[in-house]
Amino acid sequence: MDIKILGTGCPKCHNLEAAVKKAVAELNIKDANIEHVKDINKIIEYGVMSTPALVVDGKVKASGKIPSPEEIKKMLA
Amino acid sequence: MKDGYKLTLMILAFLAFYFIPYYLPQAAQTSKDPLMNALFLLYDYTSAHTLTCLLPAFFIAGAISALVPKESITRYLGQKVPRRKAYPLSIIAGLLLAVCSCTILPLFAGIKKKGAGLGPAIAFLYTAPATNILAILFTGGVLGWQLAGARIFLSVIFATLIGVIITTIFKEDGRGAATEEGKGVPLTLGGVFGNRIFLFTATLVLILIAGTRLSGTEKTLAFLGLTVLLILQAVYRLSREEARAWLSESYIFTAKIFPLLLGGVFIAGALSAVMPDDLLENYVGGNSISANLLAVLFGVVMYFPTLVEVPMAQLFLSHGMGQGPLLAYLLADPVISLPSILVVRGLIGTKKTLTYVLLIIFFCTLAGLIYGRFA
Repeated sequence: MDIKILGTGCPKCHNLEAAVKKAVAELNIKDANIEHVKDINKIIEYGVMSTPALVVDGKVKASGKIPSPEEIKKMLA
Repeated sequence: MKDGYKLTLMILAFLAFYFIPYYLPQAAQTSKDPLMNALFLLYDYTSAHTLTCLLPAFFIAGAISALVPKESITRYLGQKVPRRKAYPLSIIAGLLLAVCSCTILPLFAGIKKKGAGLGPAIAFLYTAPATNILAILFTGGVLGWQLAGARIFLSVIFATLIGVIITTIFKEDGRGAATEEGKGVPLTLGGVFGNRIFLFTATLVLILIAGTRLSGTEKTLAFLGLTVLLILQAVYRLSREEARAWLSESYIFTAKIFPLLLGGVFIAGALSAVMPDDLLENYVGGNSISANLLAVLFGVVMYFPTLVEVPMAQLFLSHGMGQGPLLAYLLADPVISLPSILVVRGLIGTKKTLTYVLLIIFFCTLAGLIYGRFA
């Protein structure tokens, strides 16, 4: 599973990354590749204009806010 | 530091400063001693501005951040919208969305690349930090609503002017790659906000206005009545998700900003005691071009965390700074910060960035001159 966290590095983006890592661990997902994308040009290419954003397997699942742990788990399913 | 601890600490600090007159009477009025004066200013800010202005402001910023449907606005901005709609839209976005600084840069890049282009993108880039809702509300509560109003009004005008000038100079149509005409949310407050959320935010704003402009029994009644109204709305008209998001966002702002603000107030108080009262008069007193320009350059070079520019402005005002230069400083300070300028430079190049900065300096000085004439 390819997981990308889009964010320029502010505290919210770190929170999202931590929450996602936690969800991945709790769901016991093996070989999940978590990447934190900080380059603005790359971030826009996903069509995202509001960070932090979560991209799973190429699809933008959330942008502009940090989803709740349950929501993150649903997005990773 | 865990959220619970941080919140408790902030509440304790607030109470400690609020009740200073009871255990530290020397700090209940201004003093020549830097430490006592710093404590006095902390007492002053917590008793006069925190409950009635700052706290509602954090809740308002939280409401806007959590409840305004960002997706509809950003989707609109990411499309090729005609110029006359793009500027107002970018500015409204700057007004509404600018509550987290990390949202500004991706949006700026997005508007430029995929949306209406460089001009509106620049208008957004300027409006966002210049009309930061928290800063405006706090400026109004502490320094006066005339100043706050001037700040918004002039920022919006300058944002458009600067955007238009830059597009003209660099002859860049700058249209994005998207080909769809922007559709979706109609360009009205009701369309953007949704009436339910608009009402909720309006109640919050009224609470702040009641807190800062009324006094005595009128104030207590209005405050309590509106708070009850607010709680009713939160319980019956917001979903649990929304209410949770609102409280969470409000807390995030408070935790990020309040400690730094207290630090800023402390420093301002200490400095105020040791600086002679007319120290700044020769440099930024009155309303000359040089006074305004100096104030702007100071704002450009100095970086204060969000909201700290307000106690600093108070410090300057009471030590000889003129009203005009004060506004010039307040307009320039939030807009230029080294990290964001560097990122902008990476996106639009050194020449355009330099032009942008110079235009800001020009317009802020001009604004100060005009305001100083009429203030």
